[in-house]
Amino acid sequence: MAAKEMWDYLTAAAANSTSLLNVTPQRTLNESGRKNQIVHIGDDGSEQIVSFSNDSIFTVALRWKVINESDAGTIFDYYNSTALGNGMSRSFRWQHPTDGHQYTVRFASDPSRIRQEVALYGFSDTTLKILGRAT
Amino acid sequence: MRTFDATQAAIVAASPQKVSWLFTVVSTNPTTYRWATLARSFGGNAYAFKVKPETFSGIQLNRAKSEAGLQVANTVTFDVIDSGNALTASDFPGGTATIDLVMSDGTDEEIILSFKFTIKDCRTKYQCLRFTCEDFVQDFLKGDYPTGKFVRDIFPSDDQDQDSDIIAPVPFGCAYPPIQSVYVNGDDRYYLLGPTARTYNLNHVYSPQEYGPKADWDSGLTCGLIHYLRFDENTGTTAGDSTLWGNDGTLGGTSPAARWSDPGYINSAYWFDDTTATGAACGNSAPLSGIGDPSESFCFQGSVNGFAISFWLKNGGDFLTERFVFYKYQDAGNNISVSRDASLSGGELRVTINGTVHETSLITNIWDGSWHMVTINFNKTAATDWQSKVYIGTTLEDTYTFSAIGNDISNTGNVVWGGTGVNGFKGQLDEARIYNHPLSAAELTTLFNYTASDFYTFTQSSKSDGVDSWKVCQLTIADSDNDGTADANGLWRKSGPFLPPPISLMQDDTYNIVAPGDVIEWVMEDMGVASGDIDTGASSSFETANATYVGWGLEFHGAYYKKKTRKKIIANLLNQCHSTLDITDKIELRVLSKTSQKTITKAEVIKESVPTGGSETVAKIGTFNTFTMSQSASDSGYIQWQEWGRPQDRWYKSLVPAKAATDEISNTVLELPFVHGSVLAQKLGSLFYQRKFLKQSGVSFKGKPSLLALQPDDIITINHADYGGSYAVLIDSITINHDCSMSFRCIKFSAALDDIGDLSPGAITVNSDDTNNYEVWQPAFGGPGGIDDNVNTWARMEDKPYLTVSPTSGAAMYETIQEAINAATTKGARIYLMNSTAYAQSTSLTLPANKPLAFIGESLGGVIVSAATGVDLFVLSNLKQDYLFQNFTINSLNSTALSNKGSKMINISGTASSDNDADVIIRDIDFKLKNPFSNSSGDQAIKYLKGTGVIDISNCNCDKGLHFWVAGGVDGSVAINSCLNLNRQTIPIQQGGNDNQTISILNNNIKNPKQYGIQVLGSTIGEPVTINGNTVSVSSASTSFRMGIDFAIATDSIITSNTININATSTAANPLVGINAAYVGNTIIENNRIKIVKGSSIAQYGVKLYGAYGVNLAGNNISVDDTGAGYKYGVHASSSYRSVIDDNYINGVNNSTNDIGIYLSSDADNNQGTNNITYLVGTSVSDNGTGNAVTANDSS
Repeated sequence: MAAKEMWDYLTAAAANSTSLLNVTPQRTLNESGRKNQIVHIGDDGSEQIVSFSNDSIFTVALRWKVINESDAGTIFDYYNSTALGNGMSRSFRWQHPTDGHQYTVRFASDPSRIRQEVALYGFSDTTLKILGRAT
Repeated sequence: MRTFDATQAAIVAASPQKVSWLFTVVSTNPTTYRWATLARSFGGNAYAFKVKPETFSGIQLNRAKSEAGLQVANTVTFDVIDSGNALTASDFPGGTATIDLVMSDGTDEEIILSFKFTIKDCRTKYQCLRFTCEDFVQDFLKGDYPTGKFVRDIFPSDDQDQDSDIIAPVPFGCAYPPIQSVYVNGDDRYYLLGPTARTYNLNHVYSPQEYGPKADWDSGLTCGLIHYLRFDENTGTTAGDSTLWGNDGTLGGTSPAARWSDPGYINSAYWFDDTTATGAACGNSAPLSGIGDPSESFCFQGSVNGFAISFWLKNGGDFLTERFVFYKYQDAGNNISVSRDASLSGGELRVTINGTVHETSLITNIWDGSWHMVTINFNKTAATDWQSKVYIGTTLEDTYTFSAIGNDISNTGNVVWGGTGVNGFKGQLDEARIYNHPLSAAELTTLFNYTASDFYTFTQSSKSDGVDSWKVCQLTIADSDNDGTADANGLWRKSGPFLPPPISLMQDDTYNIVAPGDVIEWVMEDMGVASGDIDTGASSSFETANATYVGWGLEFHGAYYKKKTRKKIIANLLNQCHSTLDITDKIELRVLSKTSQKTITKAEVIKESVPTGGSETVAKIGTFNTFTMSQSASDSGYIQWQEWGRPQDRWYKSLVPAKAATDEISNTVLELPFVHGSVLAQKLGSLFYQRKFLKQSGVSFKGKPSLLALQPDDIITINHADYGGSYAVLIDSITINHDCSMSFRCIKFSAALDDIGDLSPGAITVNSDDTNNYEVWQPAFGGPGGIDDNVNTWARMEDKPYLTVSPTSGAAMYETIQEAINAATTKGARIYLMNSTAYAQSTSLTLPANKPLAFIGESLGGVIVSAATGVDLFVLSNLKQDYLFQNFTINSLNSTALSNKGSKMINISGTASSDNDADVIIRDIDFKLKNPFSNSSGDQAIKYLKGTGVIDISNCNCDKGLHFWVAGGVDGSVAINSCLNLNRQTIPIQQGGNDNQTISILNNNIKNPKQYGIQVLGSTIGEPVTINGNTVSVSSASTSFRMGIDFAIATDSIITSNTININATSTAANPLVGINAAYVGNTIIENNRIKIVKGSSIAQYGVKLYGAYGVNLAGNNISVDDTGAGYKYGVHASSSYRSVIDDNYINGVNNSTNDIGIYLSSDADNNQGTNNITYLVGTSVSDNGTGNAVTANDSS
């Protein structure tokens, strides 16, 4: 079971842009998964569970503490370019840093670029919504 | 509570369960959009993720609240993602949104709930569309119903009631609505029924409610009659069906036209005498095709379904083979017939259903050559049992149950009367009828008692208003020429607009729509709801509800004839059958029930997360809560209902309790216009008021999705100590939330609710009020309806209709008095004369002796009726019915130089007294007569000759004339009271003598009579007369004046308190007498005031007794103070004896020998008296007789 990855629960999803974001994040990578479900708990503690979908909903949180100007520019461009992410409105491909798979994603939060010193940049936590396997 | 199938029930109860909300939106383009709160496919359709989940908070389902006259809407709102503003918001309002709740338990997936909404509003915001929707029925509940024009607008005329709000009736079953008349320009006045495409059975007409008097007319087309061969043609080869369906009978066989039989039972009949004939073949069109189908019959509120066949027969022909009277034969297993069986001993009646034969055992021999009415009720008594009941006349003579014969025994055979092709009936048939219900005892009695004269003609026709064509009718019910036969269009009017009479009718397309569910369906479709949107058909909610109503014996019979708001219409329909509508994707009908549909425990009530305050943590707490409600103080209210066969606008209001108490009575009225009979009405009323008045408090909670079957108006049981124990509540609203939790708001009642079966009120007895036929007193008020008399005669006239008259064209029902007299039926009438001075008669008004009539003027002086020159005005002869004349002026157009007795304004006479025995009242009449001031010429106001009735005259004036009142041969009684201005007649009141009369002349004021003020002459025997309180005043010159009161030949009479003042300016040719009493006995003459000031040179008498005996002459004040020559007597008695002359005051003036206080002639004997006082007379008492002892004190 331990070898299970997000890839295993997702279906293929075509991205708006076939460009691949492949800037390896630093320090942390959180994979969050949930399902769209409601648990109704009765006054007696009994439950009736309502599920709207069996699909898993994944997000990943990325942090780039120190990256060069070029990588920073790439990330900046994936968010701002209307041909790429165009903010949160377009999907694109993203290279998972560890499981080796490419996923179709979109930005789920606004990236905040930090200029640390000359030619060195960083980004605070940036969340990508996993839409499916990249095709 | 919704009924789920097993799969649905399992899904709803499952956990976990997968939920999808699917939105099918159709714009007004129309374009269909399929959206959802997530992208998915279902049922072969793809639903795009467009509905923002957080904006869809669920569907609000509300209880209709029919008890408040409402149909509260179900609502929903949601936002749809519209990236780039691709959609146009204005395309959606008016479109529909169907929302399906699709659920799965992991194995099965089905639509659990579906709701259809109308999009009321759609607006753009931030690339989203906000949809606001309400259930699709609401669109059809806006505005008024029915939608037709007011009748007043269809054929406008200057005599149309501009305030009338009556429309063409929309009837169901047997309805009895009022209908409005219209004037078709250049044609005539008609009652408007409806669109010309419709046909009607017009059954019965009642006089309008506003009219007052109650009367009704019958066409013979009784309610529920679906086929009627009268056999009145008496010629030809067709026997016409009088009902709207016109399923005429074609008479077959050899020379059918020659076999009519006249007379029949009513008019002609038909003699079926050809055994091979095909009889009267009527076919199998509707409604004949439905004979035997319970759904095509009426149960008439509590009776059983079925049908009836009725006919009159005479003779039966031979008995050698079976002879069929009624025959409807499809095949050997599907048939209905009535026949006379083959029997050499006489034969009985045979009833056959579907091949099962029943030989009746009649008591009456109906084959004896006489007319007999035979009626067979076919009652559906059980699921497949039918019972035949055979009545001969009105007597039940045979009952038989056809067990397990079938539910629907209708067949496709043709209806044939009197023949089958081989075994035709050999005898006469008349009045052959088929009803769509078994006849009640009352209906049988009515049917049995019908004669030709009971049938009135209601003629239908079509009239165009220039745009549309309308079916109208005229009711031939009026007898314009008073020959006893109705020959004119009956119209009602009461000094204003034409009034709408109620009419019992059946309409061709709705006569058999009587099941409440069917009526509701019809009305909703008429409001515009598509038939496919109503849950009807086999096993539908409407059919289930209808089956319940059948169990109650509830049918709707009634009509809409006024507009109401549609919501009130639907709410009222539902209140009339204790039901509600559930609006899903269709309209479902559900009978309300007290049965608890679910017990709510802690397992059903869910907790929800709420902030705890002060921190971001949340806690799960229970959602059960209570709330207060405003409570009604009332425990009872009224129902408005009617009995069978009564007009819809003649309802009763009866008090009903919600439970049992009627301590706090509300003025609220539940109208039940389609429900007939008090028992069902009371039950429906109590159930209505329980939900309306007994609300106590509320509870709310959020429940699990497992409660999805519950609906508003369901009863559920709350059961846990933490919730207050165990008790029933009514679900008032439910919100099915997006997460499928359900938010409930419920009503707790102060007492347990009931169902129909729990209630058993007794029938309300409504007594028939015949007060009008007795002596009543009512206060006075003017105009039509005014009753200002406590005299019996007038009270008996109180229930007569008004006929208004005005010479002004169109201002009243009639332009001449004679027309109104002619229009009055033998039941009588009140003829109201509207103000006009133009009632000039060219001839006498000869009044019918057999009609009680009252002539009432609008105002004295405002109404002037002028007699034609030289003829009498009102002529009444040999009266048998009472009359009244009141409140108008009568004017003579005669010359002032009349040379004879002129005209009699009211001339009442009998050939003999016994021929003239009705009562007459004359009051408030102002007579203006002509008088040449001769002693024998001039008009007479009232002349009465020979009669035994009561004559009551009061408050009249009379100027000039020979007589105000002149009478002879009176064997009844006469009262002349308070006529205050009898001026210048020769003899104002002249009463001839008779043996049996009783005369009362009181408080009249007579001025300047030419000869006598009051003259009363009795017979040879004498009879009581009272003359009291009258004033006779003479101040004008008259050479022939004689007496103030001339009273003769009477006994046991009273002449008291009269004032006689003779003060003429010239002398008279005759002796002057204040009171003359001749040949009177045992009479009181007291307290009169007599003054003679200017007489003549001849004798003058204060009181003169002649031939009198036993007279008590006392207390009179007599002044004879003329200074002229001639004798003057205070009291003069001759040929008189045994009288008391006492306590009189006699005042002379001359104090000479010609002035005598009391004079007793030589033939006046044995009179006595004391305490008389004389003054200024020459002789106080001149006693020339014997045995007298009359004294006086002279105070000169």
